[in-house]
Amino acid sequence: MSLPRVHIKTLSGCEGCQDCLEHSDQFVPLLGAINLVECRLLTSPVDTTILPGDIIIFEGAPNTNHHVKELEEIRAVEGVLIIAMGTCAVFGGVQANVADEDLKEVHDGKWGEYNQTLELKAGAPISRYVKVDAEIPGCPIDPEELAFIIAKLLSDGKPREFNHAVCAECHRVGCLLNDKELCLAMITVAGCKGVCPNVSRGCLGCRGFLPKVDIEQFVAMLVEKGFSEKDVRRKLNFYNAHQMKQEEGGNV
Amino acid sequence: MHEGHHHHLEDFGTGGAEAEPAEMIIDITAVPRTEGDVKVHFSVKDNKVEGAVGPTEAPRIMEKVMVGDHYNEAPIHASKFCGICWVPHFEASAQAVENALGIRPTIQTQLFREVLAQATVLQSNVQHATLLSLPDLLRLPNAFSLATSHPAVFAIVRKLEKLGNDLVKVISGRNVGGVVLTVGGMLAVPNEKEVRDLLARVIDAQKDMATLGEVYGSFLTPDRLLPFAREREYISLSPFDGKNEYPYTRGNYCSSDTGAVPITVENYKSHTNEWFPKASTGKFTKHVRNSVTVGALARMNNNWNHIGPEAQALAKAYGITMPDYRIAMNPPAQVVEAYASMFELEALLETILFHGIKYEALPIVGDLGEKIREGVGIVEAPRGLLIHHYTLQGAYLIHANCVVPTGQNYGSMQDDIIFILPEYIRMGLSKEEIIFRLEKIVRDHDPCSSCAVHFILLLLKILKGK
Repeated sequence: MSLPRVHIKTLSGCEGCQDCLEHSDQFVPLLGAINLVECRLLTSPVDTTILPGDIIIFEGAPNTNHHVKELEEIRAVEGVLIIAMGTCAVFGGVQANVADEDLKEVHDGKWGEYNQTLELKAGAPISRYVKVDAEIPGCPIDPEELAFIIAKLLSDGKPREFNHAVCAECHRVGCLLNDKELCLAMITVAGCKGVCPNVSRGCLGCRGFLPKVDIEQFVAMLVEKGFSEKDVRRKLNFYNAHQMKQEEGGNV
Repeated sequence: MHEGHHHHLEDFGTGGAEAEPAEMIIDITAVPRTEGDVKVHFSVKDNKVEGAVGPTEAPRIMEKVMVGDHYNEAPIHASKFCGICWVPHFEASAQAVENALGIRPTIQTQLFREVLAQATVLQSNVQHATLLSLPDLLRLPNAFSLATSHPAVFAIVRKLEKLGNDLVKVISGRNVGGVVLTVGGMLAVPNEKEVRDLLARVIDAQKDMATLGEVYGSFLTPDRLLPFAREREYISLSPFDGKNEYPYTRGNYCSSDTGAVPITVENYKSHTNEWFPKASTGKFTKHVRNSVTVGALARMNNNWNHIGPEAQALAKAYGITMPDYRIAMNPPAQVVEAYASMFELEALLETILFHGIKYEALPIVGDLGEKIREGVGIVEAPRGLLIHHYTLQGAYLIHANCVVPTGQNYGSMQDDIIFILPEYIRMGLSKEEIIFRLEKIVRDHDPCSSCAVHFILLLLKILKGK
């Protein structure tokens, strides 16, 4: 049996997820189980041809028409598996938090003639444009989770779903919210081992919000606790600006 | 100009009438084995070269995303600029905020930040000089072929990279986007056993680094390096007055043409002069010449007396001369820096252990009101000088500007190509060989467009004139 062909492609992002993957203990064993045909950081020449059945791992968020076209073309190839790797690919990430007036500056040419031609938009989840077969959130990802999901996909298994809050993975004695530190752990999907709140850094929600959470009620609770609404909304928008715009009824 | 070896004409030349095309267009949409999308477009007509190098990745306009940030959030956003160089982005950002607010981190925090910087240099320099650049010297397609052709080298590289990675992971809490780092200090510190284990691994890996240094040196022959000298302006940090240190996390702005000055909110723009070229999604910079060069070779040229005798000896063994205007010597300079950082890491970790590690409360920042404050942070990322400048109103950012290494180096890549391309054509090199050599010039600069905008794809087409 030939090894599955895998492409790692980058949209708009920092490549930290790819860097994490390549420096992980899982990477070299993974190379024994897949045929990595495209990964610009490590290979030259790269094989960008998408064949039926290829696995395409995307990091970064689509934010130009070119990205959207690329996604649509790849999705149209029969039997491909698309994996969204990292918070940018799954939720839009930090580049989703771009104000319309800033995009207008780019469209008006204040960021150079070339950028003007790109029809830049706010970053969005890949799933806004095409069907995604697996999503691995996290800024950055946990390479163990990626290796696990690839193994599951190849064996027709179901990836593990986390449906509890980061609080369940936080070992801190006493809640950060009582120490005047804004923390989104209560509404955020677990799976990160509570890495931020465990060192007293407020959770920023990089793994996305739990599906049944009432965000407005969460905001109201924090405001009642003495946090400013502006500060709370800024945290909610840090990684999840795309979802927040949808919650507000915006057409994004 | 360093004359290419004549036998290349026979090896790669197309010869005959094709050797001097009336017109040649080179269009590379993305260079492989680099971080980010870099486009190379040049045309040559009657020995006149016109064209440009620049990033084509969609911009992330992170400087705009940061506006509105609380000062504690700015360094978190900054460490999302680039997953590879997140440590220097964090440090430049934290410094900018600290300078604006008048906070000074403790000695322990400064020492840990220096360890993180040196560990990043170790990891990034080794990765670039071997996995990304060595395939050029050995004419291999990629890093994976290196694993088959030179398994011992590959094993050492993985070991050193893992060491750099683990140093960052243990001290910052994560290998990408460390969670304990913050403005003014650290939210948590590693325990002494963890640091002692790291120290033991650093000492153990020094002989591996020496072996790598020696083996790497055996690859550095002129027919592989294809060096040429173009006199240029090198920009880097230099140590503060009276300090004898090879600077990564603090220092003055230093130009090989105009000397060293302390950088301030008021003067930094006159040294960077950022501008948007026509065919680029990222900003370029210039100083007194048409372009500047930053990175390992720039640091080494400006700080030769501070790198230490062992590293100087290795540099000399590689044939690095001072001043050295050959960009092909940048990857060798990276190996020399990584070698030096192994000694620095030992000394830093010993110092930290000698003083004992303690959790230190963060400095208290009082009510900032609505007052406007500004601060600049300046550090060396592995790829070169990095500046973050913020304006705060009270506790919140109202403006951010970042000058990243690759933005400073695009002009240098462009000027190198303009300088050498006519010579390559005169030599009658084949299409493939010219593409290879131009890609090598780009890669020798170790570009990372993620910072400037985001990743590089280089597709090269050479169309011969009618």
